[in-house]
Amino acid sequence: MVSGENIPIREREDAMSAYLMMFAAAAVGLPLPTINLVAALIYWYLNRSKSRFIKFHILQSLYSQIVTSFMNIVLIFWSVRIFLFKTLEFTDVYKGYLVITLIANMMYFVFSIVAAVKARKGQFFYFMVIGQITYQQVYDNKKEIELPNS
Amino acid sequence: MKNRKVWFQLLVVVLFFGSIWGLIIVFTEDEDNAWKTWDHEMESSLGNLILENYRLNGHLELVWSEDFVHPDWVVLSKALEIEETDVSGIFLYDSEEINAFTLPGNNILICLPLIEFADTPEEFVGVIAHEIGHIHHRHIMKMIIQKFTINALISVVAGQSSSSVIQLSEMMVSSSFSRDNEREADQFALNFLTRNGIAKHGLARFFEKLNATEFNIPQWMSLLNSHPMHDDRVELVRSFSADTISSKSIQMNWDEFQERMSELME
Repeated sequence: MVSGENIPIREREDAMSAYLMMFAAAAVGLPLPTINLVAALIYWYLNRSKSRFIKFHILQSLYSQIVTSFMNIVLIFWSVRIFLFKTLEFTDVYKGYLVITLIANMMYFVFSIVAAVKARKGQFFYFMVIGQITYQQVYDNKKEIELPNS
Repeated sequence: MKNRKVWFQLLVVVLFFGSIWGLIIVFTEDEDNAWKTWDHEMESSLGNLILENYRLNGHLELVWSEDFVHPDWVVLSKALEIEETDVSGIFLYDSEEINAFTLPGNNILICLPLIEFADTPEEFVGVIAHEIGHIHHRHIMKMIIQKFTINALISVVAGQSSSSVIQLSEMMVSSSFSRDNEREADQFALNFLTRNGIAKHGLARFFEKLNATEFNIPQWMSLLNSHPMHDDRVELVRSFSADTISSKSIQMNWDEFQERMSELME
């Protein structure tokens, strides 16, 4: 694991922004959940060559948004077919999916705030599954050498 | 080691969300199937309340029931053998829409413009056969119970919620069945017409005309659209018509029937 004590304030803020920007993007994107995903992808592209600490938080935010956005898109498409076009029926399977999507969104929301606060402190916060995958991707890459902070 | 941790966490997440999803399906199963066990007497009471509401707000004329057959409906009811079906009553309803719909308690309401829109009795009986299909499959109760809770419906029947009766009455006119239900009713209508030896080209013709008058929905939207596309329905009916061994036309003066029905609603 990496200690975040010596991470410059600028990097911490960049890392924190990866989580906070989803609020602004989500506000613009509602009810289209893909807008915040596009914003996250742009943010990752602009910061892809920065430090591993920033990269970790941006990728963790991006991956979590991919998962929740996918769930939201499925929910919206399903709901439109049920309520607007009435092609499908309002079933228990739909109700269950609606609930787990709401829970996933709430978890994403809470975890993002916690992660943003931790990032601001120069610390790490690992989302379930995604956190570990992101850490391995960013820090276990032996070919990359961490440059000293200038 | 690290990969094992990821897999373990993934398993926990899948189990967590899967259990919630599964529990919801298991514990709400009764609610979803409630329409199957909904008491027929309660259904009739609910239907009568809705009928009463229509009567209060507009013109409603009984044309066929087990005890009464309007003279102009004798030929049609014989051709359809309605008394052999689950239908309790057929009413003419004062509306400007080309529409026919079913109510709880196995009643069919036909709007006058629909009779005027049909050029032949075969077109008209095709639509009635379609509505009998909705009754046969109990689509109406299925739809109502999906939108109202059982307790809400019980309070409506008990006369404790007049606002819900109005809401239900409005819903009957404006709501449409799911695409699967519509297809099921179409299929029933075709089998029904075949059984009664009635020509099915009338139903195909009716869908073709409806297709021409309604806003033409692009084909790419057919997956989302509520009713099966009229083109699809025409094709279904046409393919079914090709298999017909023998069918007969209904012998009646259709123009006179249309005039009489208009007079009845004046």
